[in-house]
Amino acid sequence: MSQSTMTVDAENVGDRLDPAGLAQQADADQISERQVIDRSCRGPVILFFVSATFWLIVGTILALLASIKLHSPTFLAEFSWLTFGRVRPAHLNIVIFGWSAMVGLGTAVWLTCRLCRVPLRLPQMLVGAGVIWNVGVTAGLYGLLAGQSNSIEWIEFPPYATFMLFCSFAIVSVWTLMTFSQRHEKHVYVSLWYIFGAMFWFPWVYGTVELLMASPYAVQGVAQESIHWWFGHNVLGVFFTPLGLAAIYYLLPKVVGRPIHSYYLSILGFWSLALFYNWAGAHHLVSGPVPAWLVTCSIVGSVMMFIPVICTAINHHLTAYEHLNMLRTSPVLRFIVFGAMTYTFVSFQGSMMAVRVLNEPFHFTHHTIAHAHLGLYAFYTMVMFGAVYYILPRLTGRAFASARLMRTHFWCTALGALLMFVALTLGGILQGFEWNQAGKPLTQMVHDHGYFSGLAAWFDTFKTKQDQPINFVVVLRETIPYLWARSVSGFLLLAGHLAFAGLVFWNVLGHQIARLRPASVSALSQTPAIQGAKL
Amino acid sequence: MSVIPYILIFGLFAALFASVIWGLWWAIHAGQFSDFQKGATSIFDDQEPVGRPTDTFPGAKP
Repeated sequence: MSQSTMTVDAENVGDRLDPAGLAQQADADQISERQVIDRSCRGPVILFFVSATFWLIVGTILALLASIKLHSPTFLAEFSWLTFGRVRPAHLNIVIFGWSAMVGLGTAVWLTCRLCRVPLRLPQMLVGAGVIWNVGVTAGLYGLLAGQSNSIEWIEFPPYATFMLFCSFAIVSVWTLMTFSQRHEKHVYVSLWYIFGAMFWFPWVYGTVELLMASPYAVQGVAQESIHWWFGHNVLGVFFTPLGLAAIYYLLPKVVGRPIHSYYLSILGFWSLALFYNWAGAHHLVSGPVPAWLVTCSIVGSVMMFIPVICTAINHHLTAYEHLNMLRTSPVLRFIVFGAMTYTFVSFQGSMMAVRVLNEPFHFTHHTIAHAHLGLYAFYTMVMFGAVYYILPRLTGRAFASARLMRTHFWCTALGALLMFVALTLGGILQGFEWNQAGKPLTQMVHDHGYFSGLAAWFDTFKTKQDQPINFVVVLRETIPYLWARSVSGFLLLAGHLAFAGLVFWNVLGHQIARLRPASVSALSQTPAIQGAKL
Repeated sequence: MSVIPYILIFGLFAALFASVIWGLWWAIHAGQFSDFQKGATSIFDDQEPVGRPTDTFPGAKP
């Protein structure tokens, strides 16, 4: 592909860095079209990334508080605004709308400009949208901690906050359409298809659920839950998933330097996702008081999701397979590959768990929480960490300050996510079996027979179907060790996030730090990744 | 109960569905699906060509 070049003043674009240390600078007075695009994205995308990072820390602290309260309910119980009923929805909404949405939108803006091959136009529009979004999230957080939640999971924000988010998102959607209409690249790369999907499916999903659940026109009765779960599943399926896949489909081939394994499969994956994903949601209501055909349609849609997931899995894993040695040297690849592997696993798990026989024992248990964290954290968030590590140095013209901190970030978040998944899955299985099949508590069987024999005897009790159900409080107490493990994983995640936030803020505030601490930054600039290199 | 929200929702759904069908029709007729190899390499350029990795840890060699 030919790449046009433009003559500009190199100093003005902060054009001093190649994060990979690869590009050989031939002419100091010429920078590529790609670099002009990166420069144009600097303000709005950094605003979205920095805001997202701030909300990530806030959301993680709220998550940790909520997690601790699950096994130690008296912790900070004297503060009404820190009770579990307020902290938990605050955590959920802050990580969704504060972190996940903002980092996803920042990535989407940068990818759109790169894939359309046009510099970012009307940056004020996006900065305005970012400011409105931040105000909305702040207002929403205040509302939740003040006790103004509407008690509908995933959309607990009060109406005044929701309205701001909707307006802000509309601005970004219109900007995406404008940029696409002015593109220089004729081919629409698969990432751009996914970004378009996310930009126009989310307002539909969000607008519908707000209108039917939290407006004067709100429906009543079981219809509420049908709509509620349709939104809960689709905000992941048609917003965060497309953004995550868009990032993988661009970053994975760019990082390893090879096109994706099968472009045909990537297109098939997008259109089959568009066809099947938004049928899902009602499978969470298996055995609930809703029409059976509605649940069955949702189950069929969930199982059909095997098609796009297999397409995506083949592409991701076969593209990365021959370059696994690069995992030692590339931080972006570590996060992207981790996220891609998790996407395959969580999607297969999701399709399987939609089937009635598997859904019935485990829904409404910690198992569902484990699945949700695997999707939104181990897949989406890990991919977004990789995206920030790839994009931010190209915007600021500075390498990240510490490879050790990047490795710390990866291992803390990877191990934390896995620990949380394993702990909550095991806890959920325990809950599900003991709630649904009257037998004897696991702790009693282990106490009576030892660990392995007790475990075998515990399973045997379900075969006999005893009449006396296990006391709810007994089951609750049995899950406490798993909740402790969840809190330990929360500390690991917080440590990783603090490392990430330190790297991001250090990178963005590099000029200010240079003024304050010229000696340390001078030493930093001597590292091979910065010295004499270009974007 | 007001029918306004239902008109809005189904109207929006119809518009969205129509736009998806139009997008697919446009993509087929614009040749978006005609040369997949070219599409796969459209993200590479002269400075970042196929075969050149673009990410390492700070200070590390690829």
